[in-house]
Amino acid sequence: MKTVNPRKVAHSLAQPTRRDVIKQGLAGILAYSVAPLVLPNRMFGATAPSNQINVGFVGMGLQCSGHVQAMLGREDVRVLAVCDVWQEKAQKYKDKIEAHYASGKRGGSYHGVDMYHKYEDLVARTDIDAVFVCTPDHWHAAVSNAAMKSGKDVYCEKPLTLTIKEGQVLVNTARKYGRILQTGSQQRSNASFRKAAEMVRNGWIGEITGIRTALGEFPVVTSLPEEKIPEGLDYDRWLGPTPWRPFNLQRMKGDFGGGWRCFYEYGARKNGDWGAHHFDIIQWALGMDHTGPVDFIPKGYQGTEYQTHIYANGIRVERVDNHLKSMIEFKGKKGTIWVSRNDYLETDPISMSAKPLSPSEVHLYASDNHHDDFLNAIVTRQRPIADVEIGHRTATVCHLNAIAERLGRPLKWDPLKEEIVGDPEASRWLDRPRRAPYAIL
Amino acid sequence: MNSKTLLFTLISSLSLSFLTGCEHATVSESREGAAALAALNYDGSQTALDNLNKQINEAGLDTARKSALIADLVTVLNTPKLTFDAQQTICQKLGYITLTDADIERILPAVSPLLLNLATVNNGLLALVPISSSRVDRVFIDALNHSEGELKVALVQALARRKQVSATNDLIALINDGDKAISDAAIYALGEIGTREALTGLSQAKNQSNHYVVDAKIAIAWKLSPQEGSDILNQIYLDKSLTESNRAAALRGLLNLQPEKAKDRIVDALMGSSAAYKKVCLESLYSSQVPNLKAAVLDHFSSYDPVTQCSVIAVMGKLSEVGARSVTEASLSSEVDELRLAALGAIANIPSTPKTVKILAELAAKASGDELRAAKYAIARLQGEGVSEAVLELSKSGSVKQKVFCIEAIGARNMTQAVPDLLAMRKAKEIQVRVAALDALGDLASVGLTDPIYAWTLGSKEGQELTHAKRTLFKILQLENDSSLRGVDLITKIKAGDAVTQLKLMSLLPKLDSEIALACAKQLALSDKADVSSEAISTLETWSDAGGLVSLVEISEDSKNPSVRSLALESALRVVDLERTTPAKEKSDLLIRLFQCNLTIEQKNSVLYRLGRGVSAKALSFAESLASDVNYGVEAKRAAEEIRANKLWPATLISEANTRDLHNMVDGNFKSSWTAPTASKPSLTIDLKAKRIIRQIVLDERRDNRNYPQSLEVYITDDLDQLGTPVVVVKGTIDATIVNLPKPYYSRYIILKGTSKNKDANWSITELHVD
Repeated sequence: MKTVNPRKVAHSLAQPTRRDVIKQGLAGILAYSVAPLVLPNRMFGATAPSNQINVGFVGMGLQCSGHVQAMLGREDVRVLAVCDVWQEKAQKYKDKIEAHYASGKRGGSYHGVDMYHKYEDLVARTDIDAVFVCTPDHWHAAVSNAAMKSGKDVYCEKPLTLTIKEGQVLVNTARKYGRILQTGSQQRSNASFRKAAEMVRNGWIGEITGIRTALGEFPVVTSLPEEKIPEGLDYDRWLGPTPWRPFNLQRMKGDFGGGWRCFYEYGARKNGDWGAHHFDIIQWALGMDHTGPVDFIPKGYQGTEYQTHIYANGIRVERVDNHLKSMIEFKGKKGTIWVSRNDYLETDPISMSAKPLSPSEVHLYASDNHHDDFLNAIVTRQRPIADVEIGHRTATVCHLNAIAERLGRPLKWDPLKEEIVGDPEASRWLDRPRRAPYAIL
Repeated sequence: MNSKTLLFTLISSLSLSFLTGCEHATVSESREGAAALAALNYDGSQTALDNLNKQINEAGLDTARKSALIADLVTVLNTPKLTFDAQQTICQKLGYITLTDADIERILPAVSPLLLNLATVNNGLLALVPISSSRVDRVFIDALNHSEGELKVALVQALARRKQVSATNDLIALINDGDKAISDAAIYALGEIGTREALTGLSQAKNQSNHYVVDAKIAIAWKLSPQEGSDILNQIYLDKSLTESNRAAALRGLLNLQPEKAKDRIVDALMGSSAAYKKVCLESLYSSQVPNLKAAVLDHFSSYDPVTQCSVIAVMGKLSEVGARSVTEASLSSEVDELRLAALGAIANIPSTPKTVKILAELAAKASGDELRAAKYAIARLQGEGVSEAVLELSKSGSVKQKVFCIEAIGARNMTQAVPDLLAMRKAKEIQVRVAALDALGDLASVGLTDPIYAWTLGSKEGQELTHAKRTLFKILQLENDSSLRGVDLITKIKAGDAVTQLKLMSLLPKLDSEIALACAKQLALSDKADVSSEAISTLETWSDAGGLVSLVEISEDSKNPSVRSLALESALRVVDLERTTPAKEKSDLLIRLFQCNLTIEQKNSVLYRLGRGVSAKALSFAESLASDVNYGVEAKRAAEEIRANKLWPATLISEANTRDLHNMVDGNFKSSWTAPTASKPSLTIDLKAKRIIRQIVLDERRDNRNYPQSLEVYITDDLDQLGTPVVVVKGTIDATIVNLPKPYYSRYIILKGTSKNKDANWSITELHVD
């Protein structure tokens, strides 16, 4: 009995809905908005060692997987080293990377990936050009800073930092040492988010009446029983500059729905984890990359329904979390924009999303692949799309929201001076103490 | 007890009442709260910590309340059986509270001793590092001078964090310490302190090449006067014993501190061979305020190697440097691919002229792939006087490729003023021009274009032009915000039109995604014009929601034309096959309705075959009711048997390759799949949980349709230790691999072994079905 071959019909079956039309409109525009690679894979005989970019990875947990895959797929990049405080994780990636390189060789063996326990040893190598920092948030700044001071360019996962002070240090180092740092806010390299930001920037929805975003929520942290530290794990180093806590795998687990992300010691919970994406796009859309909001109000304060931050021009950003049809919603007097991942972009009026920009309008820096953009920037020295200062300013928004939440009161922020106004207690939270011997930033 | 201690104790006792966060707490409640805090363990109850956080927040900015709280915390710190966790927590909280001088004096006796013990030093640092006070400075220096080893390292690092100037001499004394951790920490601390004295001290370090020393000097250079800073950096830059990255960092600093020399240094570096120097020089262009710097860099452009030229152009483009236009335009004609690509990226941001348009159009006419895409990117953004006019002019006068390039750009540049010109291109001889014009009109879609685009669509012959015309027409139709009005015009035209019109426009109906469009398609399917009817049925087959399938069933029921009923049935069955997910979601009700239509015996048996995929009681009952029928009995019995067996679905899946995603094959979700590398010759065991009829196995691969095995061996057995020979070997096929067994089998296990000659290949299954 004949059964139809699914895909043969699937193409025609996949008739576009309204939503798909928007995507198609966007696709049509993509042909004209894809930023060209200055020096793609075929750069002057890409596979010649002198033309390759040598990279090392620090932090071989959940997040590094996508980055490692991406780098292994490139002929102009060579992975030379991996580093993790847990030996088995580093070993797993060493084996995987070597197997990949071996499969392309006659004789089928390759042993050129070094394994490190301390990032200091990896960044000290003179043959590494760039470092991917994929650790939990509390290690981002120290590793990135050390790498830049050692002459490396850095791709650092988001949020860029654990504290605002750390961000200032990273910007300072990047500029003084002439280094490139790309923050891992890869939504900036997505056409839908870029188009949404361009529409806002160019006033297509008129005066902004409100912005809402959904970050979700992590489970509440509970006390965890102490467990035996696994063999091969340097837990003290994993804790690094954060206060000592008894070991429990839940505390350090990489888990998009929990694990270390739940703990304020290592991050800013959802404000950091997803705020680093969505607040970032909002900053971009509003043209606030080199400044930031001035008021931060925690949810529940004097009846405030939603966590809110407010810009000097009065624009309010609310963290709504439920019943929002997209990850970010921009509402204006002339229309509304809804944008999410997976190329979701919807507008009211509908025609807006597919309409091209005219040359005289603001065209935002176009990147369609966050890794390509970083590697491009390494060679050309142009500022990447999520440059260190952008990452720092976005992280600042994340951290100030988290500080206001933890203190249970609103904060006033001076984005020019980068100071909390009139609250010396809260100002203490701009940085955190660092536990020896990991106190050096 | 002296009077001072007595007073302190009395104050502490009174202050205890604040510990529970309640002004009217009894002394015993306060003592309980303090005891709970003193006994805090991170792996136990956190109530005491929660209470403490609450009290701190409630104290807010009230100095008196804070001081009282601090007094309480000091009392807890002095509790004899204080846990480490409690000590750490309290110290951490103290570090976040702004302390008065009196508060500092109060906490020091309890906290200072912590600095003298490796086990507790970090707790002490939590409380004391944030305090800016000469009193605390002395505490640190005192502790430093009574420490060694790791403890000393911790204290030195703390001095660095505090940037404690008063510790300079003590730190200088440590920079050549035999313990490298101590000496490195001391050197780093001097860099953080950043004074001339610190710099002088650093010159005493035995190993001046130590990167800590270099980094510290660089840090100090930025803090001193430009002249002093330049001297330091110059020394580093010229010291060939240092690493290139150190010297590059120094160069970067010199570019800022000695702007008068920046031009020469940058040009020299770009003409040189040091990648490290080039990198910092190029990066500095972004922030440099040196007048005419960019012009100086561009003046020497031809002296740079191609990679450097690419980088220079990229930077100039990012900076929208108008002075870079001629160099960039010239680079568009370079023989070096990468340079042309860099120039294309840059020119988009550099104010341009009509000449630039011409150069781009000429390049685009010869380009393909990345370069053509880059050219399109550039022309879409190109700004400058006369640029749009030049684009329009070339869209009408250039070569065919140039025309197409510029017509597409009209759409991408949102040049609505060019709409009449685009409409006039309907008469162009070249089909590429007509198609490009249609696409551009789609980009510029407005309701006002509806009539001319309808005319263009209906006037187009079959093929590319008609396809693009319909695409543009659809974009225009979508502009209607009111969903009740969307497509009404199209439907009216279809209903009133002749067969040619209906055939041309019908394929737009599914895209409208509305009830009236569905009704129109069904009406056409029941038309007495055979070609229109057939096309309408095909259209319903591709409907995006369940309405299409329901309409096909209704046509099978309602049509008096056997050919139409057949076509509708075949289409309906294809939809059922395509949408197949899990037995629970099978469309048994619709299949029963189809069976009851006026169809042939063979057609009805094919319906029964699909009915067997379900699991509902109604489907089972229906199949059983036909078990004795002379025409349908055989198929009905098999269907009933399958329906009973389906109650055990999903099967248990086992594989040695990728055990994590096995459930994706039976979750009814087309967005998830199971994938395994075929190089390892993976096998997949399907345990049906009981013996059952097996006639066909379908591997739906739609999510990753090119990942199928070149060869698939199929084993069927009741004993996993005795596979025997494969019952059939098939070739995998794109989109789906369908295994028709030579006869029905009754077994429990199916084992599939996929192989491929391509060692990088994967085997991917989106959904697995067994009939």
